[in-house]
Amino acid sequence: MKSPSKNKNENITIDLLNESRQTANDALDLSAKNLPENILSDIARVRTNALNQGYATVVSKSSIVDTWLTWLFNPMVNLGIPVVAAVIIAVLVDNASVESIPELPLVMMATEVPIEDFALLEDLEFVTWLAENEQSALL
Amino acid sequence: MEAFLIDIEKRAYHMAVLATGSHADALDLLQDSMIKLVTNYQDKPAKQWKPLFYKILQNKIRDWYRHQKVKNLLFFWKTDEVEEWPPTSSDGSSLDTPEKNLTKDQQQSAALTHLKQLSPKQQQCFLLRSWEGLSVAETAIIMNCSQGSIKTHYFRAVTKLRAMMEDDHEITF
Repeated sequence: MKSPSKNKNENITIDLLNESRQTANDALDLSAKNLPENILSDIARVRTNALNQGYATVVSKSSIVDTWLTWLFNPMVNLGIPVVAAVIIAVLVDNASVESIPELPLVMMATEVPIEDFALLEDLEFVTWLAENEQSALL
Repeated sequence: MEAFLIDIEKRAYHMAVLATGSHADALDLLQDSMIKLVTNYQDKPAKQWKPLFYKILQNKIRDWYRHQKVKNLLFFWKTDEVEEWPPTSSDGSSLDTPEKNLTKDQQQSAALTHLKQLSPKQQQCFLLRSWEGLSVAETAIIMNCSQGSIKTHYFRAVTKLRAMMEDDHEITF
């Protein structure tokens, strides 16, 4: 248990600390209240700049997002993309079918080939044409 | 948002100018903090703006100290000009006697000088706890340290202020 004198000393210390704290607070309040005009105008200018710049950044950010979302959900875009994709696929498939290698012509599978025809069969272009014609005839 | 900034700007300016000792640097820190608040946090509830703003300001002040440290290390031969504390005009309409006015002005002027002499953490802790009236928990979040550290910084700041004020001649409590 603390002695009364010790309690009294602690109370005095706390009072002194509170007084010094209050003096500092009063000094700060007075300084804030009596700021010179040039400093007040500087602070006002800084505040205006900050608001303008801050709002401009917010608007530009939201406009980029809005633009992207508008483009994404545009009905023309929603209709066009599948159509374009279908056209691209069709072109690719068609090219692939045209470029397929035809089967060997039947005459090349025959065991007896006339000599005069043999020279022709050595020409790759002729053989390819013959094979394609045979395929279309079969179809 | 504009009304909030008008309400808080003078105190925030004082925090920044006490921390940096420079009017220009204080304005830069103030502007950067305001821009960040408006850009990133204007959608938050208004009651959150004050602690958010002070947290941003404290982070900017901390970054400024780090930058100054590096700058002083790299350019150690350069000495920057020290700007004076902004002069304040005293209110002349007082009923007290001239002698009492002088003592009060001296005390308050000395208090500001002593605040500048505190360490950065003690100084900012005192401003947030005592001048702004923030709680220990709020101050701890703003200054990014524990509540125990805040109590320690605050007690040391107040004790040091008292000791410096008592050391000044003819200033009694």
